[in-house]
Amino acid sequence: MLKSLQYVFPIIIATSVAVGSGFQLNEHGARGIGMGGAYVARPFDGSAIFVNPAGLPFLNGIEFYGGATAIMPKVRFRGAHPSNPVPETNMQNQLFLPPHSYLTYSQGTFGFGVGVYTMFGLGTDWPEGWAGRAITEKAELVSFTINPSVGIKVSNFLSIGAGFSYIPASVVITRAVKTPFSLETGEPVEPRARMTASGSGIGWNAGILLSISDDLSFGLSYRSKSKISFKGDLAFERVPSSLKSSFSDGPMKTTIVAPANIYAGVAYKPMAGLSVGVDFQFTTWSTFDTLIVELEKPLNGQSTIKSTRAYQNNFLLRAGVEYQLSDQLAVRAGYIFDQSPVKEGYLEPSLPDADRHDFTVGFGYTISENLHIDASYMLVVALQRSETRSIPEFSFNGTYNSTAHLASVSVRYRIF
Amino acid sequence: MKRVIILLPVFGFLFLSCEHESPLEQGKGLGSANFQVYVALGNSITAGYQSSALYASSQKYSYPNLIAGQVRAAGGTLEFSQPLIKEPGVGGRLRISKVSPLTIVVDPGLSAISTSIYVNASLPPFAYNNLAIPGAYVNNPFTNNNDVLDTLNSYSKSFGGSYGDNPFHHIVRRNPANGQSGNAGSVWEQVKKLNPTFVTAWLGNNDVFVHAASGGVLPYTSAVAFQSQFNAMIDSLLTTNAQIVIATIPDVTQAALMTTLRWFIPDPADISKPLFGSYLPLYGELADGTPKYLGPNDLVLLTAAYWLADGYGIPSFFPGSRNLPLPRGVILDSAEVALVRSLISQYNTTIRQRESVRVAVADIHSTFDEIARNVFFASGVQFTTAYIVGGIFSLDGIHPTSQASGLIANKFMEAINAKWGASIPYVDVLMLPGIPIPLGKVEKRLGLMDILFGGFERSKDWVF
Repeated sequence: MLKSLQYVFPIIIATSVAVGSGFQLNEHGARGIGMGGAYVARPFDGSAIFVNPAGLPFLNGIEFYGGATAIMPKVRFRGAHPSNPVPETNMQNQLFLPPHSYLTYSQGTFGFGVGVYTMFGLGTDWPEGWAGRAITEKAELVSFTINPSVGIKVSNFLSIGAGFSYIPASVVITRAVKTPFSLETGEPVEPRARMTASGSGIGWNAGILLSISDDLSFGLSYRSKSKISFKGDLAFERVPSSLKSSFSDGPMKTTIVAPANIYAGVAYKPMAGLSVGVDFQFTTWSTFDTLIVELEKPLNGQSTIKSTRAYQNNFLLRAGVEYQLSDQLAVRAGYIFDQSPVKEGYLEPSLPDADRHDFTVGFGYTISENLHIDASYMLVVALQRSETRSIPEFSFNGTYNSTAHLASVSVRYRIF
Repeated sequence: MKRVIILLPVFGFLFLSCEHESPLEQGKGLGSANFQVYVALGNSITAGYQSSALYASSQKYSYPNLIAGQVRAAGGTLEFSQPLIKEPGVGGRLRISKVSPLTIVVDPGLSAISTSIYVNASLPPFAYNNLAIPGAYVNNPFTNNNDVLDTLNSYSKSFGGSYGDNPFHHIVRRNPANGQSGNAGSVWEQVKKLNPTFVTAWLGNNDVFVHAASGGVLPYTSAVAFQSQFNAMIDSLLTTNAQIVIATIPDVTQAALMTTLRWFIPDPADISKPLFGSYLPLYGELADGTPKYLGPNDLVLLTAAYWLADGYGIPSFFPGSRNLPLPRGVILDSAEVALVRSLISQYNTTIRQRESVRVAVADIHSTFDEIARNVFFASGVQFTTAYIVGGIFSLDGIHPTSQASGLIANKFMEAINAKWGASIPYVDVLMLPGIPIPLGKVEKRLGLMDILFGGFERSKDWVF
């Protein structure tokens, strides 16, 4: 023990999304967002590639559908526990702008296309020097899902579709490493560990659309889990020269398994112009169980660093309406209940998750035969969540309040 | 009209949800706790003693001073005076002079017998609010034991060598109480003079620690005597109108002083493991003075490092062996360990029984037990009892670091908050200093044997 000043420190890879549960984003098109994402049974825009590729044959000609979603999360933390006396800390204001774009071709019975969007991402950024700095200061995950897909109308009632995903990703994580030392000035010695890594994963997706009648349809879609392998470097900053040997930089690698998703939904038109959808989404977050970081060069005799996450599978319930006010204008509204995959004891500030209620509104406006615009707004209200039995590794009891505002715009342009 | 009906409920939700955004106000306040005049009684831990000395930069982080700071943060206005001592302090202060090889040196202490040792030489108005005296036993503050009558506060009485003549009485009990010219009065006299509204009294550690840390050479207080002395202390304190917090005694046999060295000849690469993987026992004197090979239940004190470096305790066939046993003063044999643990358990029974309407108990024993079992974390940082790297013990292996002092303060405040409905904010322990290290340009890692056989310089006996 005494042989050298060895520190056993967890290197945290979790990243957060203050928007959807876990680090998954479910918002990939302004039309869908406006309807609370309840459109697996009516996937009739380019984002069918994401939600249900069986909708591809229903598009027209060559279309581009794309835009971006502005995400502004807000997280407030308050701890009042002896081991964690944070008075009140607000996460740094951040703005994320994940883009989405789809290029599709359809001739009525057959359609194909490619989509590029961000399934996994976002980040947390706590103020420098905040009380939870030994757990997390900054965590940022950026990824793109590049998703070529096809869809076939098998009969008037049945369409099917499938796609393949290539997911490049990068991650940056920083946190302070506590040592038992201080400088002679009394200032604690706290090197900062910075992990920078990038990698990629693959996955596939498939969907079915059942059109029972003009008024009633069912959709079912599946997206596989994807194992994303990261390689990068672990580096230390703020190391006094007398402790250099305990904090040597070196290459690292790790793997994150992003969860599989099942979407099932129904769409119904109770009257002309009005469409109602109800969807159920199930996410296999239990894939995110333990994070293992492997170090190429052992650090104080340690070559692997483990960190338990113990995520649980979760579900989302979605409901949405779309009403065609005129030939040009459609209005939309929706609601989502989003269950948190983080169980009690495992809530920590790099991923301040909670059950969420999301409220959405939106509209679509057709400017010309070739040009259509969708816009939507979503308010994410995370229920206040208190952790009182934080596992020792985090030992960070306290109360989180989070909200997020999402504003999304997508444009559809018919090229041919 | 239909169009409106669709959208209204949604906007209703939006307004409702805005409620969630209202700022959280952290409750801050003292509840019914009255901190108008706060007095701390205790021993070296309460005084802020670290690394074998008492000095201003450690006194600043004494747990009662941290509590006073948090009380101010909660809106209280109070004075909390301490007998701050100039650097490097009184005692033989241990200091890391080099990180690799780890070298710990002793800075010669200031003479305890001079007014020039104080950061602020003027006398306190009545008495210091921190009346903790390093080395105090549970009955000391309430008797005139160790009371040095010093007519002119000239501190002329020398620091005698005999046990019981404790220079910290000079240093702390500085002011004549009750207008008795020349008689500093017992700590208890000074407490009464201050007329406290709030008292923390963590005493009793030394009644068994001194015994344990001297390898069983110095006496301990029997459980029966402890009970009557502790009860007398509480009964005395209850005659003031103060609210009182007392605290349990941690298991000293788990301190780094007792657990860093083991009963066998250590592997230089990892002193928790035996040399060459075979358990070659050290050789030492038991309590009755008979030399024998040590066993797994005997504890070897950190102070034995000096003796090991000189070849004591090493079997004769080893190079460098003196063929002499470690003296009993650096060994706590298994029977002594059992006695120490039993005393602590009985003391704590006495302490816990005194909880009442006006008396709260801070259970330091249980927190230290979590630390010793390697299950204590704060904000993602683990604290252990390991010497130096564990973050709990200063270089003497038994007195808390400033960060550990913060943990103790938080434990007291937890008891205060619960008892008197207060919301005193807790100390952010990780912001407090650790063990100071020099900024040397060193490439090599720390070697175990460096500390065992290289770096330590002999010091005089450590003072508790």
